[in-house]
Amino acid sequence: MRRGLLAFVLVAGAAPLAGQATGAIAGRVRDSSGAPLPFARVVVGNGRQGAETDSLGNYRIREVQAGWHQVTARRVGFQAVSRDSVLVQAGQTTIANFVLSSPLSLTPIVIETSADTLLDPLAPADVQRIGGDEMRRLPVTTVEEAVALSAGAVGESYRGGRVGQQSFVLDGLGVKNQLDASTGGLGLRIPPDILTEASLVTNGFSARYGQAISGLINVVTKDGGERWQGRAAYETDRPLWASADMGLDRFVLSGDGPLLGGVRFAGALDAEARLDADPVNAPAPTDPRDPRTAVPWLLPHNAGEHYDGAAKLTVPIGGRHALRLFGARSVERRLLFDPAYKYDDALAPARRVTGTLVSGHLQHLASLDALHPLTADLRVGWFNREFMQGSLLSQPPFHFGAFSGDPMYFLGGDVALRQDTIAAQNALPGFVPPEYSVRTPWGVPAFFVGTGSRGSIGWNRFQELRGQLDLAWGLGQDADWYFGGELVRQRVRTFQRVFAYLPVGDSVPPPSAADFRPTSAAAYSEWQLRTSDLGFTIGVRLDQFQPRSDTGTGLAARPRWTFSPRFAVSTVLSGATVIASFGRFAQAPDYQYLVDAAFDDTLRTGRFRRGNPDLGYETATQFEFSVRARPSPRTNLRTNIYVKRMEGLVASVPLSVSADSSIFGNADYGSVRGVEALLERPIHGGWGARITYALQSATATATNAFELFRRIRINTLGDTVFPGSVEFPLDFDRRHGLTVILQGIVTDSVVHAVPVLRPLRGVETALIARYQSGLPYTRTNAAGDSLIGLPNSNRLPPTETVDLLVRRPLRFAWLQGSVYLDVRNLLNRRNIESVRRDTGSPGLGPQDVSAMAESAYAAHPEAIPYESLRYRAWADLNGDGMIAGSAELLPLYLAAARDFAQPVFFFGPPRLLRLGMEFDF
Amino acid sequence: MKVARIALPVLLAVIACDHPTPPEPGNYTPGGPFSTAVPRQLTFSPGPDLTPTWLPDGSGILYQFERLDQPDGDRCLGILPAEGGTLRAEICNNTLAGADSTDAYGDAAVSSLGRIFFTRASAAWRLHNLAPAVADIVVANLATPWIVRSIRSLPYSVAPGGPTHFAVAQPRWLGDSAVVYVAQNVFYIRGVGYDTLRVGIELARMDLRVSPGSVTRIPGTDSASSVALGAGDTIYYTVAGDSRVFRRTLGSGDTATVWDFGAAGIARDVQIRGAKLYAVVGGVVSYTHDSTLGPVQRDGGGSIHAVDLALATDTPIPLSGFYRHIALSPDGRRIAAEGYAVGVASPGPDIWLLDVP
Repeated sequence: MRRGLLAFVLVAGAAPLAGQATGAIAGRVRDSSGAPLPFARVVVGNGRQGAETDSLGNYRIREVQAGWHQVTARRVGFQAVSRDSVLVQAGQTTIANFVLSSPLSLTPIVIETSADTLLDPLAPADVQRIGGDEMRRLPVTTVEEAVALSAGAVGESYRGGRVGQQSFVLDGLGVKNQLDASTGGLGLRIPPDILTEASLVTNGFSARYGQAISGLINVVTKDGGERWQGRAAYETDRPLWASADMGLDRFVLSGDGPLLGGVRFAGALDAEARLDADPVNAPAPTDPRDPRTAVPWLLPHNAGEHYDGAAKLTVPIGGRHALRLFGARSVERRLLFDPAYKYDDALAPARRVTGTLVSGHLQHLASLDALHPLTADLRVGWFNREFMQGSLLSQPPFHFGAFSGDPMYFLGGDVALRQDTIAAQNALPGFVPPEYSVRTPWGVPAFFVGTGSRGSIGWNRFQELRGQLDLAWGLGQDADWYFGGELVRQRVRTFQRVFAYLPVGDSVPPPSAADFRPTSAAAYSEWQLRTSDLGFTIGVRLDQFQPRSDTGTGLAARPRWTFSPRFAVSTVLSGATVIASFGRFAQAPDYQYLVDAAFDDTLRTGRFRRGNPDLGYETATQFEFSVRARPSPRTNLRTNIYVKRMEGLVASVPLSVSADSSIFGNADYGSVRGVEALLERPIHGGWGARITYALQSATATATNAFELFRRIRINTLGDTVFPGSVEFPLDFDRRHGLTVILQGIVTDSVVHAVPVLRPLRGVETALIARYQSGLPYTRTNAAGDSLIGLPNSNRLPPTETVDLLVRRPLRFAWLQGSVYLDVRNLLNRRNIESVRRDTGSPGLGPQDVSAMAESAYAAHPEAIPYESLRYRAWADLNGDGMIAGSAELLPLYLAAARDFAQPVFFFGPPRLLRLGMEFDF
Repeated sequence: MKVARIALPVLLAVIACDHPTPPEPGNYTPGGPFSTAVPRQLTFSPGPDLTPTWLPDGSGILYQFERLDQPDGDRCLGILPAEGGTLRAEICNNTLAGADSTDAYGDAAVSSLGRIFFTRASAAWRLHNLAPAVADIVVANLATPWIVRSIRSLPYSVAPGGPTHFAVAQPRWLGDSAVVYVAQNVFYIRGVGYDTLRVGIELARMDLRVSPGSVTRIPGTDSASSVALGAGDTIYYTVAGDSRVFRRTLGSGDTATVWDFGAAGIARDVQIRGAKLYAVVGGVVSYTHDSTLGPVQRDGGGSIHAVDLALATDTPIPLSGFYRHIALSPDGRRIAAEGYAVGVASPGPDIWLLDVP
């Protein structure tokens, strides 16, 4: 029976391309006797999309926007049948079967719908999705957090890839920070309230999408509904006890509904601020003179606020066209805690990142009776991301919690915006040289600085205009052809100046700036074929990019091309869907590597290097074997085995004999092997569960960049050999990752069975437990200039967290809503997320602290007189009005060293709680 | 549901609560003076603390000190609270560009309108130069002392045919646009250590409204060693090697001897408030005619004498140690002075505060 169902799916449905905003509806229409009904018309919504059944009663409607739809089946002589809530998921086929009866018949109307994405053999992509509604039921706040629940995800690294090697697809339009994705993020956050769903695709995604070698995050936003509805929510930790009050406030407002002329609107605003935006579960300082010993140990100058807004208009044009206009803007402003400025925090740096996306999507739908329906999607998007980091002219005033609304003005910001490298040769106005702080509890001139900031100003702006045309042509029930392409024009501008309180000179590097306008283009073609119980997906993609203009390095750039074939075959064996796939994926390098290093370098050596505008594509070739099965009617099981080979990863290679005169190149290779398993039980009978496990090994093979490891070998002939390459773990080589998600609802039946739970009727609970083995890290000597062992040859301890969300529905006056408690790291486990490279632990040992103190004392052994701002009475042991000599001064230096060396950001967040209430209207 | 109905108003109510704020650094310095003893030691720096003067409102004491925490050994100006305690402000050359030179700020005075007059001298310390490479006289606002107006470079010659003034000392504001001061010669002597010897040439007046400042010599004040302002345009002054205190009316040029300490010794560092006159007298002071340098007065401090001009009485203030460069507070009740301990190998003088009879 099951095999029959699957065979039917093979015939009736072909999965649309993974990683897009649309899905498909397919099924069979029969009469009450079970006979297939040809020429029946099945339409979606108001009839603008639909299809006719063939002689076997099968139909298929392509390119249906993800979300809930009304589907209606009609045929002359039969009573029309409608189904109100058919869920279409992006990249998947929803099965909707109809049984029509004649008007005079008393036979009941039968409708079957299911989104059998698990067993759909024509969906070769590895997709792990989470719906917008589901996000609200889990202890997650952002799309990134939701996607990170997927197997194989380590934060924003997927299947061993580097951060930034993923692509972000919003309603079918690619959006990527091509400038510094590996270090800077996208800069655009989509409010979860406007989402229909978000998913992570780690393999087998369509040839339609490039610019990703580790994964694809697909986000689908919702269209406005047929009636107005909305939601308002407020979250805070204000009512909580002191150590739990991190100064959090979050407001969410969303709504959607019809406007005039069939135009529909959907919009959402999400604003969040926290006084300690990056709280850590570091041990509290032990010295009572340290001001952070006071509960709740908030980090000073670490506040952050972000504002995210998105709006969408859906405009029907005639019967077969629709225009969707989308706009989103994110603003993130952060004060950054700098340990050196702990006591002069007004001089610590701050950062502002803004992201803006405006896009338009014109869709042409096929006629309902088209023999070979053609759907066309033309998308145009403009993306702007701007980053600035430096010292503020003035500190932002907090008006409500950590909300300031301050736009943040930076010292030297005007020079940076003008990219005025001539004016920046001089010391920039407003910058003052830093001096050792006098405001510390310890007084001594060591470690902590004040008077002036670090003197840096960094700015970059990435702009992109992207045009994308996608066509889907139905070649009958057994074949579909997808083809199209994109043209992208970008502009990159960067500026950085360091030690801006000094003029450029011997010890002060000149300001760096770049302004260039790369272009890229791509074309693809993909076929989905079905024959008997086999499905084939065959795709090819051609990518090209060209920096085009001078990147400031004086080096020439060539246009780069890459060809990416993709292939998948799937079938059904013994009730399970088996898929084998092969794909080559490519992405252009971050443009930050094309310009002289003006960014924090997260690659291995952390040295200043020259940019190389002649970099080529980073590529990955992935082989995968997947099995999807349903061990029981309510249990889904997926397993994936994959091997991924990465080539041409950007790394630095020596330009000459000096390690410091090096240049970026496509020098490194990587290999990732892994197994993923996902066991899922959707909520039924009051509970549901989802368990994902990933086992992977990710290693890099590198040329001997920087001669990092001089491991001399003697070969069999007695000759000395310097190895040309080595292999070591990649940065995101997380060996084991286990995530367990449990959800429960106290339903009426539960209350009936356990009456004592009556007060909890309606309460929803979601728990996420995670265990992840440690990431690798590199050890160095105490000076930090020599590696100990191979890179990444040591490992951090595993991390464990338990998150919990408890939600209780309520009705307040005419409003419906709920109150909820969201707890992250419920057990308050102190997870170590990084360590010092020199000690292999989060902090320094007593001997190292003593050495720091003694070194600082040796540099400043002078006495501190009573009238000095540095005088501390408790250290004047003999009460002579002077702190002099090692007996009196060294304890101060020791206390200062302990304070300065406190491990802070080596630890993950502590237990974080937030209370929320929301109202639907 | 009852729980929810209760929870909601509670949640709404607590929204108005304030968040805790991140910790701020405290004030870790002592709140007041080191002690209340009389006389009271105000500074304890191992380096020399020199030439105290009072702020016009009597709220603080301006003096010069040495930055021992910097290898270049800058001399800076500091402002102490009137009762003593932690420095309220520092005026230093803290720029990194100044790190390779010894920058000395000194000879300062603050006007009643908050303008500060001081001298700047700079020498490349790594070259071990004795004499500064550049020096000038500047005026600034006390609130923004880093924004200065250079009045006149040092040394300067008083034309025509006049002497060359290498340094200025004891500047006293005449209103807010001129100062009177002791114009000095400076000798840099390379001996066992380094020594700088200042010798008074005469008193001079500088008009600060023009640039360079217009200098007028005050006749009859040859070898002046100190100066103080009296009422109107009257000045009091002493001369090197002399036990007398003179009074001169600037307008008329009339000069008279107002007091003679006689056998008590050489008088210097005169201060006057009404009929009360104070001066440093005797002590570790010598006056010689050096064959190379000419007349030289070396001063290691002396006793402080209080003279009541109305009663014609001279009362030495009983103190241990010697003092120099006394500064009478605007209310006439206290004196700030450089103090030199007797019999103690002090690395440098400190600032002391005395009550006056």
